[in-house]
Amino acid sequence: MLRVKGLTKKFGKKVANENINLSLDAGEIGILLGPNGAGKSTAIKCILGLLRYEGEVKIGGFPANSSQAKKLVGYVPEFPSLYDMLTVREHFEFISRAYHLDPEKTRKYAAELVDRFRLTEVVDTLCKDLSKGLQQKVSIICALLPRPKLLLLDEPMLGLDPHAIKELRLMVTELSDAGVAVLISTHMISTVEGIWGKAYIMRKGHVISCHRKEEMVGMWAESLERIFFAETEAYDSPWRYTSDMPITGLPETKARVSVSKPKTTKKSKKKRKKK
Amino acid sequence: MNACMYVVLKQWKHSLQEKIRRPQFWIGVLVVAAYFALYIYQEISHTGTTQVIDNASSVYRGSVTMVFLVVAFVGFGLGLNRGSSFFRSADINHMFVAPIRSERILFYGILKKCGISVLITLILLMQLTNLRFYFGLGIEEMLILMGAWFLLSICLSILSLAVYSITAVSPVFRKIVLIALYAVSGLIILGVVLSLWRSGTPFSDIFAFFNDPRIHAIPLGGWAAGFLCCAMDHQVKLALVYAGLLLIFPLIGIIAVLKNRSGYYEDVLTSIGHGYGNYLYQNEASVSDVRHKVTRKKSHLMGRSRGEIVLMQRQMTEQKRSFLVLFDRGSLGMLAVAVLTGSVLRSLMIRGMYPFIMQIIALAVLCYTMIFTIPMGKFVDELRKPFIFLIPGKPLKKLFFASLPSVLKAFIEGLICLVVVSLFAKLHPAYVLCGSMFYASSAMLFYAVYMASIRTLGLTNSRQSHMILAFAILSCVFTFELSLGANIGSRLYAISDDLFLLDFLILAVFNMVVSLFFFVSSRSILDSRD
Repeated sequence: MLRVKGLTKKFGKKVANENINLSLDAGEIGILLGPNGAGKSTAIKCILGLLRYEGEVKIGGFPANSSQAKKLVGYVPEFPSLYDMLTVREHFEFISRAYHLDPEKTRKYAAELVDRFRLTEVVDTLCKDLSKGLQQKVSIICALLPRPKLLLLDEPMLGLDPHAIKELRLMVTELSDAGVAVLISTHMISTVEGIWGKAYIMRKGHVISCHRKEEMVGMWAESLERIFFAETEAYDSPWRYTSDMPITGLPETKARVSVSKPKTTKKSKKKRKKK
Repeated sequence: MNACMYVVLKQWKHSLQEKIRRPQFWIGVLVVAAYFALYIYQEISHTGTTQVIDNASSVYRGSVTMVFLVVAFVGFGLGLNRGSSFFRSADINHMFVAPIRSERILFYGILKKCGISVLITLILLMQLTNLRFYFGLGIEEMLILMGAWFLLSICLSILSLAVYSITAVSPVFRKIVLIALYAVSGLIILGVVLSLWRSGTPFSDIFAFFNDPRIHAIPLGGWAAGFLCCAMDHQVKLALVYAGLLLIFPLIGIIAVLKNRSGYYEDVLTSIGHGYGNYLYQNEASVSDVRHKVTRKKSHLMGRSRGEIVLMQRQMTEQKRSFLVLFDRGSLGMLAVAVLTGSVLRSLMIRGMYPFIMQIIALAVLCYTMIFTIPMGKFVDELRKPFIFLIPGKPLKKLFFASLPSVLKAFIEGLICLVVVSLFAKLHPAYVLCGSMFYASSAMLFYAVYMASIRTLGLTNSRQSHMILAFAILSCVFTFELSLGANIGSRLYAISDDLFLLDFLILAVFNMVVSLFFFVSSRSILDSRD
């Protein structure tokens, strides 16, 4: 469903993403993990076609910025940004018109989602009068309404109450079962434990490792948090994840083994020469 | 109805419903209704005895050309600096992501902007009576005026589209256009100054300058004026040429949009001069880049002081980093006004005008213009951040220090502007210092009055409402100040010509005392965050 090859995004001299490769098949749940400034949100914006980029991004076989690709994608932004002077119900109507959806079916589906996220009482309230958490819920429903084949969630749990987090987790699993590919970018690892299928760990604009849950063994299979800290806290070596590297699971004994050829930098070359 | 139109109409509907609930909307409606009533009364009671002013045609054409040029300059400048301000984050996260064509999204933005043009046209409509009685215009001339205005406003609306689309791909092009814009306006100001430099009646010289047919070669404003003048002179072919030139811009806009595929969120930011990368990295740079901390330590203006003064120091540091300690665009505008005022005063001086009257005129013009250029937004931003509420200290001091950087800036700005005016009109050197004190104290007064309006209406109210109330309070204060100044000034002038300058110092003290009163009365805005 999603194929990203050699995605590089530069802002002037600053490199936000470099040679990112990732892929998601239908029904797969991918997690983008990384510390602040790792480039997760930028990568998602490139995938959405909001930013210009180098490389190739294809959604369902279509280029990311094409109209066909946009029809397949649902997106929940980092911060809920709704139209202040529209009600919740009018937002759903807007989505229905923008994506050329069947009005009756959309209304029914919206009612179902509103019920699940407990928004029934505020459907006719202007969005400027909603709390941040409620706005986030509306944002999630807006992303789900077009019944996307690829769902991109950028920090979706921010500001949500425990009930909504539980509901969203359940919904993501249901969507996955229905064949929707889901890519979640988050810091809150505990909220995606148990539902993830593939995890990409990012640091300073690079994907430093990729793990499939089914390939993980022992304690590593249980804790995504453990993998994340092992990858990011012990990260001082020049090892990098590259596209040609096989996706591996971490064994019980060693902290990290997902290793490929080292990235040769000027400093490391100098060190070798000295040795 | 498509999705974009749906959003526009629903938002207008809800905004109107919101406004209807607010009393200031009804006050506004009453004022407009009164104006229209007056207009109708003027029409009915007109006996035909009003005298058309001398050289009506020259004055009318000159002033319309001047207004068109200013409107075009401002519109073009806004298009360049905030060309895509019509997109908000909701548009980006909903429309740019949805399968809606980028051209359609852009036209949605223009549609919103056109609403503002309609409002401006309404203001023009209100002037029709005056134009008819004092300039002797017939229905034909008024229709031509409306046509020229309509063409210009449509062009300016679509101009944003063109600027957005072209500059999104090439920020260098944006800079070139911006420089060209400043160069053309600089040349126009120079032309006005030179024409005023000649002896004669100052204002007729200005009109003579703007009636020069060469002015019609200037894009947009000049073309609209050219259309108006040629149509009035029944030069139909030439008028159509100017109208055609005016319509070129919308065409360029549409072609540019079709060519550039400017449907990227990034382009929106690029076209307004903000790099998304800078925005993205500004937090990371301040948190994680430890190496830069050592070098940056010396470059801030935070000093060693503690307490409320940090509000001022923080703003000064921000201004220093953005190179705006002394001058911003508003200051540049003030300098242009100072040059023009100086030129007019010079003409008056040659005709034997009293220096003290020129001093009063210069300060009145500069202070009035300053009200529109003063960066009130920065102060409002301060109120939107939690720091001013959380920092322990007296509210009065906090408000004072939060507004002080702008007052200091106004003082320096006043010094520069009054030096220019004094050089042009050969005024007393001490006037520069006394006048600057008055100028800066007026800035402080405006800040204090603005705070009072925020205190009265609440921070959540619109900026326009705050401005209207602030203007109303300022009018009352200035009326009293004027009589006070005239009283004291006449006595000082009777003693000695130069002693009159003390009047400005006394009025500066008066401004500061009144400001203090308003500061005290509005300190409760820091009691709780709105």
